[in-house]
Amino acid sequence: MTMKKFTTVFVALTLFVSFGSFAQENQESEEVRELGHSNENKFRQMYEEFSTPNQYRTASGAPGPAYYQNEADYKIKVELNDKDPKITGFETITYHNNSPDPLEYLWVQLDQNIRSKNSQALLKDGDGMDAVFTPGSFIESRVKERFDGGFNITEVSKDGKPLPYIINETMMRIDLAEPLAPGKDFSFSIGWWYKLNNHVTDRARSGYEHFEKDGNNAYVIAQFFPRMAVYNDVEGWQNYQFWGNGEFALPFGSYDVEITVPADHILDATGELQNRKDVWSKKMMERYEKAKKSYDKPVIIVTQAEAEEAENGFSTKKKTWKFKADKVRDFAFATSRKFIYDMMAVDVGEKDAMAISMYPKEGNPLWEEYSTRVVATTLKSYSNHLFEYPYPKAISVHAKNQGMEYPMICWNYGRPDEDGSYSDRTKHGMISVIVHEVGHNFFPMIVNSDERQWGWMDEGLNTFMQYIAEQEYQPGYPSRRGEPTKIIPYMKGNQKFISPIMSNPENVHQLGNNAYGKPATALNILRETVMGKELFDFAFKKYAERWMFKHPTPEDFFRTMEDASGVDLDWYWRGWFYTTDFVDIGVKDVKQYFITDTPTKEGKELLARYGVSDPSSLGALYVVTKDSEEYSDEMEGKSPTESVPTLNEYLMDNFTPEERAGMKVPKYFYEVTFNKPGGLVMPIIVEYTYEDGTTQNITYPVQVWRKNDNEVSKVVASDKKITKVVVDPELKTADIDVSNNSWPQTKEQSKFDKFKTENKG
Amino acid sequence: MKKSFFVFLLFLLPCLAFAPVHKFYVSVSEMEYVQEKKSVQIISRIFIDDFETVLNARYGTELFLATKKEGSESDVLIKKYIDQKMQVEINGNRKQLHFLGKEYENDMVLLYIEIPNVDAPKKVKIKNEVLFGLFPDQKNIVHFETKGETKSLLLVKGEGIGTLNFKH
Repeated sequence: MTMKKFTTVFVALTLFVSFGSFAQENQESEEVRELGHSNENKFRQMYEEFSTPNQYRTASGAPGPAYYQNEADYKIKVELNDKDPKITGFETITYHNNSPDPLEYLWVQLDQNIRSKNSQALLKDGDGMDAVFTPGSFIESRVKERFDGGFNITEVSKDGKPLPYIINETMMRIDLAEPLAPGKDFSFSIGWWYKLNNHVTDRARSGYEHFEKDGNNAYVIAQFFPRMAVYNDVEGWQNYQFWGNGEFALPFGSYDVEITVPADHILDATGELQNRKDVWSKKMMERYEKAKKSYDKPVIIVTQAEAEEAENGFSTKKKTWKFKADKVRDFAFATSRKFIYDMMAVDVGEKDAMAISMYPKEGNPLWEEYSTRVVATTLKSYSNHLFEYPYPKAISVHAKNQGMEYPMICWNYGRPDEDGSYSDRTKHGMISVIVHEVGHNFFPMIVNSDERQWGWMDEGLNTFMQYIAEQEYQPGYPSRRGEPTKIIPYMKGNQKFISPIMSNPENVHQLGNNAYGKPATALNILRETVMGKELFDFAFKKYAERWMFKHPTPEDFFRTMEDASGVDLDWYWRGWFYTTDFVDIGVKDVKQYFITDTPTKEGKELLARYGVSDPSSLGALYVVTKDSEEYSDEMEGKSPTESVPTLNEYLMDNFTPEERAGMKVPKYFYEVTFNKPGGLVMPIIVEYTYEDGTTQNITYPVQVWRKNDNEVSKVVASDKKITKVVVDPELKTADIDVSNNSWPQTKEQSKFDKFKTENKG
Repeated sequence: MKKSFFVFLLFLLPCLAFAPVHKFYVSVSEMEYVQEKKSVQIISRIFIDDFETVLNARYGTELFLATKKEGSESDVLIKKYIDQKMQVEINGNRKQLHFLGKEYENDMVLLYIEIPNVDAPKKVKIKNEVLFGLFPDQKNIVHFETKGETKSLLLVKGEGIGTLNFKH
């Protein structure tokens, strides 16, 4: 209450200041008549960028009443040839057209064709000639014949009769005799085989690693079968070619998969194992019973000694592993006789999930110690923030140099040195990649965004969640991405090499920053600095719940975040996601003001314009700056009630002694001007330091930039003299240049000079 | 005929980047001309694991960077490597790079390099071919700042050299 009255006194003061500046601006604009412009305000709503809400996707960001998604159910039989690495398979796909549109043809994805000898993807980048080669790289790049790893399609049929089809690179169109009507199914079969690549030398998301010492391969197999493309209300058929960076867009469905491998392999995959008793030994079954009840530590199902013994087997017999999975968008598996296997139970809510790891002995002792535990904590963190992990298991498979995600299973790097020792860097690299890839179960495996078009929707959201999960795993964990300062080197870089987050992954220069680092940081800043954790977390969870087992678009995300929080964020999406602007806010000037009852020249002129010819009758207060004529040294440090006796009289006349006791008339008045060389608008976080060393933090809402995008002034009244003003003192906004963040301007020793001083002698 | 076959194959290498997407090959070097000191100060940020792989492959060593096992020979080799892979020419004169030392920040190594006795740079030619030998899709980003003006280069294999011109 007292505060309010107190403020009104000073609103009167600042009114004069604002009148003054208003008058000046008026005069300037009279001199040059500028051309008109359309709405360029950074706070304008995003009607032009966003598509119009409709029956499929509502304005609130939720699925609409007519929302639909098509489904693909698979029955797959594949066999792995271990001696001459090769996959041979046959599948029957049942495609459900839940759309309101008749479909004249179906599009099927043949991702492995990116590895075919004549793939267009091989020619997608420019290159130059080198001056010097090592013999090895010369042979590899100029002499050796290119590996041919594309799909060989042996059959496309319905009920045994061939179907017409055409292959366009990584997409296959299957022509239907008559359109597939809304609400109808279509079942057809495809036979195929392809040569498996070495994913270590060939750097791929799928393939095998060869172990020279024991002659074994460890397989991590994905994109191994022709998969249905997505048909929806946004893209029609998503048949944008697979060029290598934009990952996958896949419909949900149920999978029934039989995988035949050498009998001495240990295998696991997406889905629930149907014939565990046939493929697992009795010993494994006994240990499994223990694992299902072990919530605090993993139980080893296949020991290192058992795996090492199996390494020498090279069985010529075969075993078939049978899996079933529901509500998944993809299927992957890993298999080798080298695999050690451990698992533990995780309480993620109503039902338990199993956290599982598979790794060759080369991963130990690191993997035995950390992998399964990290899978478990990741499932818990994500389940707390989003929704309960709905799948029965999550597997982390150790594969050299890999970090790749599939439903319920992922490949992760992190290998100790040969003597078993490892650095913190290797350990943290491994923990981070496991958190990240297991986290992908939520985005995009369940919240099924279109990776082919929007890499950031799964990578950015997941990297953001990864940051949270890592900090929950261990406070102060050395997270690689998420902290605002970590994105600065990217955001302040040459604009030529930066793209807006809203770009296709194929067309950006720095995918790591573009699809992972920047969106993750943008969301972290949104959570910690712009919205606050409570509002953010509810809205983010709401987005995940609304789009769980569905296909969201960027707008569904943007709209839900606003809809569920009541915070207008169009300015934030526009700036951070649709442009390459950066944050740079500084303190331009700090001016001190003094109060007097002697009419000043400026004051008299102003009043005259309002018809006041005799100011003395008004009893008004006047504002004086240090460099104005009317300033005198006596004014310094004097309370306005001393300088202006009428102010005291006014207080005595209008307030009771109790009310007056609660009021403190400030002695110091400042006008602080903030400027904004950067294009992004952000709240201004300011730390004021007073002469007695105390500090006060004030955050001005982002809306201060509504009417002036370049600079804005704030009046600060205080009891104590201000000695320092710092913008963003805790580096929470990714301000790319902090040299202008302080008043008086301080020159901090540069990072380079600091290093040089510390390392001298 | 044979030549065109070679040229065709030239394009293959970067395409092998069909890849564990979660691994990116980028280094960032910030170079700043400090007028009072007449020197160019350089901080290069490179992923430790890639850097170590390259040094070990090139010099046949086992360096164990950023671990207790790291010995003093690593600085000698880093200095040697920088001399071979980075060059800076200012206003037409090739400059000597002084490697001052390094520090580790998470999974990055920061190399501190100085070029003393430099007059205000107008034309700067930079070669940065760090890691190109092993990682065909390595990108080296260089920012050069002088008197408040910053210009940048994106250097890739085959185009490891760039020139920047400054007004001041």
